[in-house]
This record gives sequence, structure tokens and C-alpha cells, in this order.
Amino acid sequence: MKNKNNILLIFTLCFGIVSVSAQDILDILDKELSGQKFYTQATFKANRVLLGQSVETRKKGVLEFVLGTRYWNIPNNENGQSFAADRFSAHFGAQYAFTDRFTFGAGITTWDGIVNSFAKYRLLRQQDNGKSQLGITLVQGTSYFTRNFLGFQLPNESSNRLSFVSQAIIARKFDRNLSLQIAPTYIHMGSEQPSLDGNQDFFSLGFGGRYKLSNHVSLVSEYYYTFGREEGPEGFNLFSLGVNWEISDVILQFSMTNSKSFDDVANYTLIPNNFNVNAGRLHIGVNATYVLHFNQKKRANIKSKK
Amino acid sequence: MNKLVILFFFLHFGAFCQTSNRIITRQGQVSFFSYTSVEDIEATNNQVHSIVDKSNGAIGVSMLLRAFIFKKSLMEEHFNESYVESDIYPKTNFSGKIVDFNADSFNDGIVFLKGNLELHGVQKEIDIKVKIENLGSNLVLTGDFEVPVADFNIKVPPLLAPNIAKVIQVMFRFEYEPYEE
Repeated sequence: MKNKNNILLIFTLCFGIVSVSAQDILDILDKELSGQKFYTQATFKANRVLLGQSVETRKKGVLEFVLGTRYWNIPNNENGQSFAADRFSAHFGAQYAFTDRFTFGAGITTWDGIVNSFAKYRLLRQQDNGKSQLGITLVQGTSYFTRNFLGFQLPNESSNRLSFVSQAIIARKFDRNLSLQIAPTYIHMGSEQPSLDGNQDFFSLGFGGRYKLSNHVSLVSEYYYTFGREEGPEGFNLFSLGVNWEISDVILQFSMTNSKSFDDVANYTLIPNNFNVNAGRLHIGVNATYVLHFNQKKRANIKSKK
Repeated sequence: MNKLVILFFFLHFGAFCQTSNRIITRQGQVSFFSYTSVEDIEATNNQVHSIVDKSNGAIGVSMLLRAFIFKKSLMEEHFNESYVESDIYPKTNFSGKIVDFNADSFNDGIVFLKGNLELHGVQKEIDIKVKIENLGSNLVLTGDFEVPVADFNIKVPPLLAPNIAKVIQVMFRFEYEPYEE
């Protein structure tokens, strides 16, 4: 009799444990799923915040075409014949992500005739619930100047026409809306420029930020402070304010800035005016980036097992 | 001594019953498709977790939205950032039961599931037709169903409305094995 009772007890306890409700099952699954780490997405939306480089690169196999435009007026323009804007500059660039971490890009600009290229490497990527709270990207840029323009005199020796920029970009996405980055930047000018008082080496500190306004629109801004020069006669610091708008495979970056160039070296050292809305000071631009995906098959890994 | 033996038996049987009644998969596959004349969107998640309780026909499915892999990496970013907002709602869950559960439910054949699908902070009751293959200790569940985007408060901007199907087709395949804690 006692034995029978015991067996009954074992059975009831056993089934008592086993019969779990659907909610209990979800609780178990919750534990199983927690602790997975992913790299933080969309700290910035493109390779560039607006004009300067961002911490972001594209995933492997992505080719981007960039078409940039910039419009501005000439101060004290007497003839007033221009339609909409007195001056126009266009930039065409392409960049390709060889891996998730390494991107190479190049471009050319009409107004200042600068041919630029850059290589970007993601040293550290921020993780959601992971150890790494920061993202670090290293950028090396090379610019080749081809003609005189405002504030730049082309050197005779062609080797002196090359200039270099090196950056370490440290960024953090604080929450879903706010991302900030700080970029210590070293610039080496290939030639002694009178407008730069003969200085060839500069150190600049860049600040960039993104604030998400809606699911497809974000506000972005950046400021680069260049050390060791008298702001004014030797150029002004870069400031830009703009909006990123994503539409499917296209990212439009609308910008207001005090720079006429698209190139990094020119943007950090060769800006002849301060940021304000007067004629000749305000430059309005749109950058359109078109994203093309290669190696789609490798990523997809979709097995239809119907 | 006698009590010790009983305790031993109790623990042993307790553990045994638990493992034999619950089955789990940690590599379940869920794919979804959005086909429009403008573009096709396909994504697969190969890390879907699911548990079935064989004693009462209860089923739970849970997956991280970030684990979906898209053909185009930019789509993956947009999916997470702009549509399902996986930073706020990282998971999607289904919890339900087999309709008219009985001893034969886990034999080869078709059963119906009734339950709640939770996505983007919204819960909706859905019915899913499931094909069961019984491979002895393992069980394979496959099936497909449709999810209307508008039901789950997922906003599609008017400009992109032609790119995303109104109804997303979902396909799944879960291969279960005995659950051990």
C-alpha cells in the first residue's frame, strides 16, 4: 500500500513538473536567447557624416557611387545674372567595401580639381550588450591637387602636389537616436602654402554627431578645430549642418557648410571664410549616395525546404 | 535508507520525464519574403529557438530580429533600424497550442496551431497549419503563413510603399531534439 502511494507520488510530481504552460516555455526560450552579441548598426548612415569621414563603413561587397553638389554665391556680385547660384561644384566618387572592415574609395571634384582617395579600416566595432562600448576606425587619405584655386597655389614639382590626412575616429552610439564621434586628425600638406603661412603639418580635432529625427531622417553636424593657426587669416574651421535622408538604396545628404571642397585636406585647412548665411559664406549642397550590393548569394544562405 | 531510495527514484524519474516530454531546437529556420514588382526582399534566420511540450501540445518560438540575414546588407540595416525597430523590440515570439491535441498529434501529418504572435510590441492571434514529420526521437515541423505588415504597427513611408509587400510570407522549418537543461 505504501509502495503504491509512493509510485503515485512520483507520477504526480513528475507530471507536475512536466506540464508547463506556453508562457513557461517562452521564459525558458528567453534564457536560451539572451547573451547573443551583435555589432551596433547605423552609428552613422554613410561613409561620411557630411563632409568628413564617419566611423561607419559598408558591409562586404557593397559598391557606392557618390554624386555631390555644392552651390554658393559670390559676394558683391554686380551683374546678378546667375540663376539660383553663382558658383557650382560637383564631386564624383566611388567606394568599395572589400571586407566588413576595410573600405577603399576615390573621387574627383570639378571646382578645385582635387583627386582624392581614402582607405578606411575598422579597428574596433561597438557591440550591443557586448564588451566593446566604442567603435574605432582608422582613415588614411591622399589628395592630389591639380590646379590653383582660392587659397591654394599649385607647386611646380608634381611630388609636392600630394597631401595626406590620417585620422583615428572614435565613436559611440549612445542610444537609438544619438551617436557622437571624435576624430583626432593629422594633416600633411605637400607644399608650403602662403595662405597657410608656410605651415605644412597640422593637427585637427573633429567632432561629429547624428540625431535620429524619424526612422528615415536624421540630423547631422560636424566641426573640425585645427590647432596652431590663427583662425581668420590662415583659414577657418570646418562647420557643417545637415540632414541625412534614406530612400531605399539611396542616401541623400543635404548640407549647409562653410566649405567649397569635397576633399578632406582642403576641408580641414583651406577654408577661407567663416560659417554664416551671407553671400559667399553659405554653401548649400546635396550628396547622393547610391548603394549597389555584390555577393548577395553568399550573404543570403536561404534554403528553401518546402 | 528506504527514504533515500525513494528520493533517488523520484529525482531520477523527475529528470527522465522532463527530458522525454520537452523537445527543443536552437537552429530553427525562419525565412520571410516580400515580393513586389519593384523589388524582392528575402531574409533568413537560422538561429530560431523553439520548444514543444509533448505532454500537452504547447509550443513556444522565439527569435532575435537582428539574426535575420538579408541578401542586401543595407536592407538588413533598414529592417532593424527603420521598420521592426529591433533596438526597442529585439525579439519576436510565438506561443500557442495544437488545436484538438491528442495522443496522435505528433504522428506524421498535419496539425493546426492557435496562438499569439508578438512582433514590434503588438500581439495578434494567428492560426498556422503545420506539417509534422516524426523521426522517432526527433520531430520536424514545417509550414508557412502570412503576416500583414499593417497589423503590427510597422510604418512604411508612402514613397517606399511600392517596395514592400502588404502581406509578408513566412516559412519555417524546425527540427527538434530532446531537451536537456
